[in-house]
Amino acid sequence: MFGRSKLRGALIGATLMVLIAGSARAAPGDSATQPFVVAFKGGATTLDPIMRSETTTNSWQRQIFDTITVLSPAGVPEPRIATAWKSLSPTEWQLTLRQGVHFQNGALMTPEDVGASIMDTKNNPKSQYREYANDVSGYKVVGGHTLVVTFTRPNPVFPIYLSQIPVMPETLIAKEGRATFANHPIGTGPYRFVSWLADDHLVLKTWSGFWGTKPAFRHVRLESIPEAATRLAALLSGQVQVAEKIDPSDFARVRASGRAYLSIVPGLRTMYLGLDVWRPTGSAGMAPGEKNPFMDRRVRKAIAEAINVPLIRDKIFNGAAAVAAQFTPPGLEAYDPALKPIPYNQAVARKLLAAAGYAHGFTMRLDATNDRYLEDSLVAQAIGGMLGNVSITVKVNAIPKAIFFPQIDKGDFTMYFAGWSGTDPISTWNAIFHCRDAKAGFGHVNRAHYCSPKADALMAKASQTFDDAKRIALERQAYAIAAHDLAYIPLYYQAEVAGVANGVVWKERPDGLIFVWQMTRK
Amino acid sequence: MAAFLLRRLLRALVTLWAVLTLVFLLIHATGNPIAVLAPQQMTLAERARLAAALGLNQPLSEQYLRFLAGVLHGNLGISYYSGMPAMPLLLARVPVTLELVALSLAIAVAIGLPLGVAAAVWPASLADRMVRGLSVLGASVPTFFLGILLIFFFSVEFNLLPASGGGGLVHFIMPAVTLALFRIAFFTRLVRSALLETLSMPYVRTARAKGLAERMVVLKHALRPASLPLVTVFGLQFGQLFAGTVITETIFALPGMNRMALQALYRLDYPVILSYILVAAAMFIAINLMMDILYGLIDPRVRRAA
Repeated sequence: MFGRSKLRGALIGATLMVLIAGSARAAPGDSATQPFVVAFKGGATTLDPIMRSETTTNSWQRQIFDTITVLSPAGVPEPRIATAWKSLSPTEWQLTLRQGVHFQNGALMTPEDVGASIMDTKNNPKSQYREYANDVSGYKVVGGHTLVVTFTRPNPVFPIYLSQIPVMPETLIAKEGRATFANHPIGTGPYRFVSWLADDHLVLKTWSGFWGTKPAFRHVRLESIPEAATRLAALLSGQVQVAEKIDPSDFARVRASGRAYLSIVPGLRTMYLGLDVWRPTGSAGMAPGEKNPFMDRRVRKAIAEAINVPLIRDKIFNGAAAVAAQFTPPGLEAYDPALKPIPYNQAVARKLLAAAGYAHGFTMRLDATNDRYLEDSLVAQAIGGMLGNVSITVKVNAIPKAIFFPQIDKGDFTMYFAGWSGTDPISTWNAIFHCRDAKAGFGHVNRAHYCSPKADALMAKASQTFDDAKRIALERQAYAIAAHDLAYIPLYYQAEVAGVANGVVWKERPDGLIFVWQMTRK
Repeated sequence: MAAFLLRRLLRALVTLWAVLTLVFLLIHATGNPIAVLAPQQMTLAERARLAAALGLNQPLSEQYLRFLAGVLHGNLGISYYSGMPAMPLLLARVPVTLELVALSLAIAVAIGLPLGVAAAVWPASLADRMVRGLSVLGASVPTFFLGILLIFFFSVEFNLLPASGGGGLVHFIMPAVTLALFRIAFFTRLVRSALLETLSMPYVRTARAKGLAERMVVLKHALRPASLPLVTVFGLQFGQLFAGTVITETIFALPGMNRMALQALYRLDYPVILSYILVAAAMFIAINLMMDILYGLIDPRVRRAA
């Protein structure tokens, strides 16, 4: 009797030891107490998938929600909820929907849910995704799994726009209300919601009824760690498995750590200079009464020649930026691989300035943000210094974004430094490059007042062209005209950077979104 | 006492109103929330729609009246970013900050008080000189530097403590120590000088003369009056820390209310900023009120003067 209980004690002890050892060996993601953790700089502010168009918020939401299509890293729309699409007429797109898709409350997704999600994206007054559904006039369900979306005007890039439109359980939202839905989001994606704290963390678990491949990591925690040094420490100590936005100055540390590697890809955000090309005198960043030098294309060309972008890339970004040859980044359809960047050449810049009558330079203000883009105020300082080398005296005015954008929107600048990240060349053109026409909704971000009716006509034709190759050719022609005119000087594409633990496979996406369901074990 | 308290309370309410009004006007002068909230792609018409949906298209006076009415109902509006009521959003973050402040002050008193006593009892000794040296160090090391240093030693090199995040007590150790270091130094010096002063008082000499053990003289007769300034400073530090943990919360990624307020400030999320100001100001006022009461309890002269 005594011996048996002793034996049992030993057995229990051994079992416990095995359990403890087992739990210590468990890989991140296997249990709720040891989740797979991804560290972001910021956090999602809302889990309602149309209320906030911002990369981190989208990243967090899109573990739970599927978009109707998804963009490949090259920017090509690929099947997600829609498995195929076809344009029936210039104002009709037919979507074939995936069958057997369930929401995370078990309800079957219907074509009505998808159609209503598109309409909700367009009509909700707080929707930040309206632009992707603005031209939609309605939809009709044909058969069990086909949706025909109708348009007020032709939209050949709608399959790209569908990558921004989430599928929401519209019948449920109508019943329970938007606030309940935002507090406990339900989508069709690979992970279901467990708990969260806005702006801080989101706990997720794989959803058993997901229609696609099961993700490699079952228990996931997305975390906001605002401080770059802390994010790095969490990665190197094994507390998190993926940490985004590693500081360029820390690249060497990650590489030497033996615990993690870096994933760096050129992103979709183009950093550029905008120049006042509409006020012959009275430009806001010049002395009163002074002539605006940027009315002369030679001066604009000189600016492009005088800025040493490769040096900015190497010294400020430690190599993690790509020199831009054109406004369109690789990964958007109008990107033209044949174009080469304007080379850095001080002598040419001086010659151009002298030819334009500015041999002794001039004085101006450069406006920039100090809290919006990676190293924004530092780059602005560098640009100021480089222009100083060709006798242009630059007063750098780096200010918070909340002041900067209203200021440049009302034309209070001569030259500004900012970024743009678009989903397609047509909407980008219409916003930034199109001759300003508030009534028609054109050129609302065209702060330089650039205007080329010839290029506008090419883009107008492109926006009616459903043949991809023909449309892209038209887009490239229009962008080539704008590139020659240099009202906007593209400098570089910001890179998307993440540190990834050695056992995990993840490559950053150009759009900066982080999909945990695409990560795998090595 | 009741009249005294009532007067204090009334004055506190006026202060609160003045603070809220001032902040309301100041933040409306700092920029346009729509410019930060709306993606650049949004057209002017869409922006106008968004502004209308948030009530930002109304004249400032109307927004102010609506805001005041909201305050009276305990409703400070909907956060522009989360779409949820701002006050509950902020209140959910208060416990983290309170825990951090309480823990760091506890550490500071637990270490600073005995150190200060030791330094006063054995002045100019090696212990005293070391304490003084350490307190200079503690007072001059910036929070962010100390925080990062701790993270690199205890998280990366030794892998003992988590680098970030809220959760169990273990997550609060490094941030609390970071905040406590300066206060340890501060409390040590305070107790040392107060105790030194008391120890030179005639009544202490009398106590010694009647043959009391030195331990009794110091701990019972000298330390009690000498700790009065510590109580004062403790209250002040509590208030200061409650609204002053923003760097620590950011470095250690703690979901406290100060970090949330900073983010709201960057985003011009007015309802959250104003909720924060309301909570922080109310806390300050409450602490001051408690200090007043405490003085009255400890020192009868204060009560009589009131």
